[in-house]
Amino acid sequence: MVLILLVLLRAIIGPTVIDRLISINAITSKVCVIILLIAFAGEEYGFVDIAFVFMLSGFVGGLWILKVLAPGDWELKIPGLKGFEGEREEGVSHD
Amino acid sequence: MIKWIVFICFSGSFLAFGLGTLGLYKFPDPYTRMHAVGMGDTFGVGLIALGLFLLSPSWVLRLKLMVILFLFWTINPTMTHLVAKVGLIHGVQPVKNTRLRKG
Repeated sequence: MVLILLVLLRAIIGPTVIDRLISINAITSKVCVIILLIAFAGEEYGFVDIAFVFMLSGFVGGLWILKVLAPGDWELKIPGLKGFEGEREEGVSHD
Repeated sequence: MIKWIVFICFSGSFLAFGLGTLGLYKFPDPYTRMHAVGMGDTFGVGLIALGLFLLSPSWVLRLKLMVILFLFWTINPTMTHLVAKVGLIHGVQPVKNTRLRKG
């Protein structure tokens, strides 16, 4: 539960969109685990199904966010990945 | 005996989640952070499901736990892969002096 707060802090201060996405995925898996533990601690075994549905809905939500982020098609639009190498030549000597 | 095995499983899963969160703070790059979180979550959920598998009273619950574990182990690497791909499309830069190759 403390770890959820730490991951949420990373989601708040994360500099890029990808940080927030992976933080949301981590929070989803941790909440799923906590629901499983509550189900087995209180002996209410219907909560196992709730954890199942929670995991699947988190996956579908993440897929929707990814589809919004990706422009148009799903293929890589960087031929030979030249877009990265061109911008990196300024600060190469970074040993 | 079973109690100690379950205790070891839960401690290991908590350790895995904690190491994933530590990696989320210590790595310099969204892609390396993604790697740390993926490893930690997959291992942690696997150990939790193993411990609850030993604790569960009936076989229906064990079947449900196995379905959850199977789906999580297929969904989480797929999600990590898609997030990395969309990040490259979207233009998130890796850390400097990274050697990229296609495929």
